[in-house]
This record gives sequence, structure tokens and C-alpha cells, in this order.
Amino acid sequence: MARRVAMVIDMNSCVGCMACTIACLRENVARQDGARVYTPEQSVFYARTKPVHLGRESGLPERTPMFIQCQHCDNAPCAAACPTGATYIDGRGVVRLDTGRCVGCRACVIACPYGARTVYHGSLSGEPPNKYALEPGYPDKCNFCAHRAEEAGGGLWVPACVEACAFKARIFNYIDDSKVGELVKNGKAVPLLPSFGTRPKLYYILPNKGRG
Amino acid sequence: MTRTELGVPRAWIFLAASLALAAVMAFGVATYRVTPPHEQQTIPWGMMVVGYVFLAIMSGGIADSAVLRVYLKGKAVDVKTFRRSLYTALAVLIPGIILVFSDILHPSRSYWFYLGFNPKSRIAWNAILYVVYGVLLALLLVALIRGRDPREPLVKALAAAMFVSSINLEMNLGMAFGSNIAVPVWYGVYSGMLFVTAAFALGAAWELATSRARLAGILEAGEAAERDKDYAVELIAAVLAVGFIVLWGVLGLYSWGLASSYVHELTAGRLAPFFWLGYVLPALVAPLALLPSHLQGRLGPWAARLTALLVILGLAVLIAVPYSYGGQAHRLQALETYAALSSALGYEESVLAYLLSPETAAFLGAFGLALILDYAGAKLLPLAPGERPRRLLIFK
Repeated sequence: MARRVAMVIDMNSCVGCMACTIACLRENVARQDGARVYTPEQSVFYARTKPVHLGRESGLPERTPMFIQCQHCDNAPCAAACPTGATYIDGRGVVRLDTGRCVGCRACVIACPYGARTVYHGSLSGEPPNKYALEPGYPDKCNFCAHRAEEAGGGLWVPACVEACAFKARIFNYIDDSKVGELVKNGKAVPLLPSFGTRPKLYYILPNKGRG
Repeated sequence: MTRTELGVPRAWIFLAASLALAAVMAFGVATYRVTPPHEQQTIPWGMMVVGYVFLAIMSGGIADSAVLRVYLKGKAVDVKTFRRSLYTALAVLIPGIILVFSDILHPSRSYWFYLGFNPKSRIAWNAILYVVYGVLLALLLVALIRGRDPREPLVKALAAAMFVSSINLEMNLGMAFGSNIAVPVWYGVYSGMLFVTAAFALGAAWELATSRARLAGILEAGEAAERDKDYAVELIAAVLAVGFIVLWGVLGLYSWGLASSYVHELTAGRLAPFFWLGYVLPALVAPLALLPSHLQGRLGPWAARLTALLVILGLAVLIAVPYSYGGQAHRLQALETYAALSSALGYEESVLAYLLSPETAAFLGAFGLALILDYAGAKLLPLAPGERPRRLLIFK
């Protein structure tokens, strides 16, 4: 059985430079056709990790960087809402989309309490950057760069956003026996909206908590 | 054939208006399919979703009411109109199903609803229940057209099964909204109850609004008046039930932190005109003010028909704007992160943009198709008591 993976985002180390977002756009969204590169309008909306700054009303320090992206829930509302099984959880615990089964009902877009799924309704020229890249007309989402997982065979891989972060604010590893597991176990890394019972595998180290 | 003062047959005017409406539906669907909206992120479910839900519950309400009347009351007037009502339910359901396939982005993969059936998904169950309800409704109608007596055990069993499937479909359509914890405004069993009660209100309203045209030739004037009065009573009960569920829902939301800002918007903010003037006035106040006077004979049949149309309009507004749009808009306000992104991008899908979309044209036009199907059925099928099946000579 494949080992399950998880990600931690350290909000203390993140400076909001958007390198992760740009890396995601390049890896999973942008298409090249000859000398031209095509991205959707308002492309940040279609990055699989969308950067925002939280205001003071969040209770966190002003302009705390935060990301909207798939939380890879163990109890994923999007997978439960999907009528056809197009959204599913693979053996590593990664929530995936099988576009071949998707009928485009957008139930998953509605069901996600993290607002992590977006449908691009426009068109894009050129070849997709990888076989699981954004396809217009489908409820796109982060898959922890699943194509890289396939390239890595059975081993651990590095998603594009993790690779791009110069401040090592993103940590990606197996959840059971790694730094990630330790941060989760000792309560320094916490999930979003735990009361919803979705059991995410994306965790955040809140400001001023420190990695320890 | 009755004619206007200018000598034009009324049926022609009715058909021309219905065809024009159906053309509006075709235009709306074609525009949506050819140039889907680029910005549909904050409100992923548009007016076509509202349309197919609305038509399905209206169809269910018409059929449920007809079955309950025939088997619980057994009045001669209801038995005489049984076939006609069941056919109308089918005629209303068909445009709804067309809207389902028009709305989904990849209809050619619809077979996955069945091959990949996910029992946790309410939408997957809808795909099953639409078929079960539609098939049972058609079978019941065929049995009656072929001369079976409604009191035969087999026909009774068919009617009971159809009734159960219809109620399930209505409840499940509501819970396709109500099972989303991400949308605090929809979340909870009240959504399912809202759709079941709205089904009965819409069924009674449609029967009442169209009875004069549909039942001419089936009922005598006295019988028609008696039947209309029965439906007026049913409509009063149903709008009270809908009103109670709405009140229950709003009070529940008011006490829930994630949705309390919505209640402010609903009662005094930008959704308030749609709620008070769009729903409360036409679909709650008007029937409670006008229908009792009609029942007491102080207001003529026009009052009942006008009220029925107002109820249909009011419930369409309730489901389309305060419920569907309002719920989705407040899905985001419950999440600080998304609100931050929306404001950073200057991004908002306004009520106006939502309403003035090709999807609204498709929804409104669907009523034209329903009317054409209803009219064609009445002309081609033996829906009146004692009528024999006709042989259609299409090929000579």
C-alpha cells in the first residue's frame, strides 16, 4: 500500500512572494504554443494554490499570507458530492479528478468548504503542460503535482510549489513518519475548519507558533 | 374553436406564444452551450439548475396532488381529470430534464451517472430518481389510457410507487442543496422540506392557473368551479407550509454564526427586495388575502388564477435569488480567505448578472415547451374520460 502524503505551510516563513503560485501556474496551467504562452484571464484564480492576505478581522496579524487550495481531505465533501466518482481519493490520500468521468455538474465546486475548486470556462491554445494539467470546462484542483509522483515511481516527489519556495515555508512528506507527521502530532501544524469534520491533509503553522 | 374579436382562433394565439417561449429556451440553451460564461466561480449553479429543479418539483406536485385526490378523496371530478393531470405532470417534467442535460458541461458523459454511481452523492440519486419517477409516471398514464380502472390493484400499486418516487425526488433535489456544509444557507434538512412543500404549492398553482384552458371539454362549468375551489384550499395550505419552512430556515440561520450575515442581507440588505417583494408579497400575502375571498364567492375565478400565477412567480424568485444565489454568494462570505481573494480581484457576480444570463432565458422558455407538449398531448392522446386511443397515421 502506498504511503500517505501531507503538506504543511508555515505562515511564519511565508513572505507572500507568490513564487509558489507562479510555479503552479507554470507547471499546471499555462500552455505554450510556439513563442506564445497562454494563461486564463485573471490567471491567479486558476492557480491551484491561490494566495490571499487575511485582514485583521481574521484574528491573525494583518496581511497574514494564506492560500486557497485543495486540503486533500480524508473525508472529502467534493468526493462525496461527485455523482460519478470522477473526484476520488487515491492510495496516497491525494484527492484527484478523473476528467474522463466528469459530467461537469459542479457539485464539487459547491461542496468544497475551502473554495478550492474552480472551473475555467474559456479556451486555451497549445498543449497542456502535463497530463493532469488544467483543462477548460472541468473543476480543476491541486493534485500535489500527481504527474511528478508518477515520474518518481513509488517514491516521494516534490510538488512544484514546494520546489519554488525559497523560504522553505512549504513542507511535503509522508504523514506517518517525517517532519510533517511530527508537526501535526505535536499540534504546531493545524488544519483549516476542523469542526467541519473533513480531516484535511494540508496543515498550517499559524503565525508566531514556530516550527520548534 | 373559440375565436378572438378579430376572428383569430384563441388556440393559434396560445400556440404562437408558447412557440415563441420555446424559441427563447432554445436561444438560451444554445447561447449557454456555445459561449459559456467566463465568470462563474462564485455562483457555479446558475438559473438552469434553478430551472430543472423548479420544473421537476412542479411536475411532482401536480402528480402527487392528483394521486392523493383520487385515492384519498375519490371525488368524481378528480377521477375525471386524473389522466389529464398526470399527462400535464409529464409535460412539465420533460423540459426540466432537457435543462439538466443543457446545464451539465459534458452531457455526452452522462452515462457515468449510472456506471460510476456514487451512493453518497445526492446528485447521483437525482439521476436515478428522475428516471424512476418519469418511468412510473409514464407507465401509470399508459395504464389509464389503455382503459385500466384506477381502482385496480395494479394501477393502485403503480400510483403508490409513483407517489413515493416523486416525494423522494423532491426531497432529494432539496437535499442536493441541503447536504452542502460549505453553503451554510442551504445546509440542513429544511432544504428538503422546503422543496417538498414548494412542490405541492407549485402543483396546485399550476393546476389552478391553467385549469380553464386544460379542462375545457372534460368538466362541466359547475365541476370546474368545484375542482378549482379544492385546489384553492390546497394552495392556501401549501403556501402556509412553505412559509413555515422558510421561517424555520431563516430563524435557524439567524442563530448560526456562519449564516447570520445572510439573514441581515435577506431581511434588510440587497436580497431584501427579492425576499419581501419577490416572494413574501406574491407567494404568501397574496394567496392568503385573495383566495379566502374567492372561496367565499366575493372574488371571481380570475382572482384564483391571478393568485396561482403570483405563487408560481414568487416561488421562482424565492428559489432563484434568496435561496440559490444568496446561498452561493454567502458560501464565500463564510470563508474569509475567499472573501479576501474576491475583493483583491475586484470580483463579484452580481444578482443582476446572474439574472440577466442566457440561463434565465432557458428557464423561462422551458414553460413554453411545457405548454406546447401539454397542448399536443391533449390533441393526440385520449386524456378525457371515455376517449379511445387514436391511431396516428404518420406514414401512409
